[in-house]
Amino acid sequence: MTVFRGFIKLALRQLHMLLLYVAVFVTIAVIVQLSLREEGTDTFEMTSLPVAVEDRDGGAAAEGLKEYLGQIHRVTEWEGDLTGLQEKMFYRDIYYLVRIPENFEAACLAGQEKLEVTKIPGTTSAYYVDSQISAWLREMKAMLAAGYGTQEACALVLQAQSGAGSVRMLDESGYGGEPAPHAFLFQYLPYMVLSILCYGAAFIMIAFRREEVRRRLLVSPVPRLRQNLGLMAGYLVLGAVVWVISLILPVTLYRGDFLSDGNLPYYMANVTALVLVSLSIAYVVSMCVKRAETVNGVVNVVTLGMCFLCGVFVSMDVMAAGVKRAAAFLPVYWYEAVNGILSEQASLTASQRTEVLQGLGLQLLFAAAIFGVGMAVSRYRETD
Amino acid sequence: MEEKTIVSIHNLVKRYGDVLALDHLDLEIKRGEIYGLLGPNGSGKTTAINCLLALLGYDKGSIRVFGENMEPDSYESKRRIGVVMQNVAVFEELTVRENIDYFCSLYVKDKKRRRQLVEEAVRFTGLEDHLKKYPKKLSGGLLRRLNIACGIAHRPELILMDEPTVAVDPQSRNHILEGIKKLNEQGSTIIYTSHYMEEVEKICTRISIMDRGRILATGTKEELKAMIGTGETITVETGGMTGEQVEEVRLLPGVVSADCQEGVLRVQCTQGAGNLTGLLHRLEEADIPFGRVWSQPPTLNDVFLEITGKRLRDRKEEEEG
Repeated sequence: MTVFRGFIKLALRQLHMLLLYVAVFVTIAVIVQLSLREEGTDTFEMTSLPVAVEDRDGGAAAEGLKEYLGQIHRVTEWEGDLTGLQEKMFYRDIYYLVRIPENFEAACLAGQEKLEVTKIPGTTSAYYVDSQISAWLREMKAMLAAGYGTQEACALVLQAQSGAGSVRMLDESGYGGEPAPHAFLFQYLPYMVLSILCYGAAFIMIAFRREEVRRRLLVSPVPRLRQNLGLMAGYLVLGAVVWVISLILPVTLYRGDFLSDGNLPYYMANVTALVLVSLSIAYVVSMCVKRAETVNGVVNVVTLGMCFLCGVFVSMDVMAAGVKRAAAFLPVYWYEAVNGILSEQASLTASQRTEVLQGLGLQLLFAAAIFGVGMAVSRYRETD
Repeated sequence: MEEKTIVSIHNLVKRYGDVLALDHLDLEIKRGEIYGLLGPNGSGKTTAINCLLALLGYDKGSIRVFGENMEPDSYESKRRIGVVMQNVAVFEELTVRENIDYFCSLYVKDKKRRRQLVEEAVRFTGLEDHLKKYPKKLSGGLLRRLNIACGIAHRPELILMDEPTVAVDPQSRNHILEGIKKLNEQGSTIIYTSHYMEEVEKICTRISIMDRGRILATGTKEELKAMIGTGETITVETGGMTGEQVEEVRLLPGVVSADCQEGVLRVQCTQGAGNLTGLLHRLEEADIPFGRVWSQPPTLNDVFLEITGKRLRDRKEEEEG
């Protein structure tokens, strides 16, 4: 109990560091989440481009085509020369020019002549407008072949266009196709958890493992086993505090959204696994670091290295396959893998649930293995 | 029945590879003593203390403390022992008060009692004005005092102090030595190791001289001085002496050596009476004017020198000390 009390007392001395990390972490997570929310893609809208039309025909069919294009794009009449057009296209004031020739209906709709267009080569906008004009021409030909008059055919094609099917985005995440808002908080969480636990544990253990203090404790009437249990209890309390903070943050910031998330139990389990893994890493770090001056360096290498490799700061989607393969040997990778599934799926399928459970299991195995390494280092240090 | 012998070490042998650190060491320390272990650096004092505290295993022999064999799990004995390590053993992250309270809490669970003991330890070591300071902010002397406060706050029956005054300023050293005497008066038995003979001579009731892992002599300071043939050292301020005159002094009965430098005659005598009067009579006869005269009884350094043929501290250390 005495050693445990000492551990807690020393941990409280690091409180400022803990608060600093929490503040920085929350700020970054919220800023990133808000910036991504502004770019939301939960609604669908057809792209509208500046399209110019040079009408040399002026007939009903030409009017029909202009009206059709006008429903989708921002259509302007063009009467300028080629140089002016090139300039407008260079500055993207115009993306596409349609030249409707004289005798348009007889020549083009009858298939004798092609519609002359000028477009920006190799752009999607060119293909986009191409396909729309082709579709209009196809439908007009079909209508005229069916015996409709030109004006009637134009009206029918326009009607068919305006009655185009509505587009509904697939919303697997339950947040309009976007990842859950709290997903970002959980994505960055490993950095905060690892940093707090590694720094905290390292500074505390340096104090306890200082040779003079260690010897002083050995000559005290507190049995060695009780001392070690006291330290272990201290570690667990430190982990529990970080676990609580990790879950209080999303509850505070996202309230209902997070609490009503169907994956809440999995999020909690994932954070628990992360805290256990981080505790084991912190234990190894605290066993390896002897002097306070080296803590910063070692903890930075461990936390930043692991976070960069495992998709905490940079999404795993943009990482090379080789990096991903290497990251799979690190526990935080599996935390992020689980978090990725949870943030994109409002309800899990059986196979996704299996993946999540595998990820959690692997994290626990990592925790046990790393803790074992820590014990071995500790034993080596004591006999050294 | 209260045991009279608190610590009993018999035939203790400790080796570090080929080096014999403790060579069949025998010690017996009685309740109420301030027992001094005097010896040069590397003589085996700290090794003996570490074995006594069960911090180190040993190859042969036995150690009994409070009548029980001392083992790493002798927690009841450890509860009655206070330890002041050679190197300061405190938490740099805790304040002076927190450190004393923490180390006291290893022995005393009751908060109220502990608060009282901590207050006493603070007063005892004179740290009242530094309670909220962190160890890094303390001077070397204050740090040593804190080290002592942490070791004695729980009022142990037996206190082991391993060179507690190393690198301490004279003022703090006197404070510490006076404190040790007070602790002894309050009933604690103290084992005090040092290579500073003046300290040991000043506070210890019984002294063992150690070298190369062996106890060379044990006794009170008077007993130790009586063991050797060397007597007093007489110093006389003269106006200057010729080599012949110094040689005549050297030939006087009871004189071991004589030396005159810059008008100061230093004469080392054998044990016995009449050395001083014989010397002064001789100076008067030779018409050598002299001023101040003083006589110093033999020191423990003389004892050590005679027993081992070497000085307790080398000259550089002595100058620093």
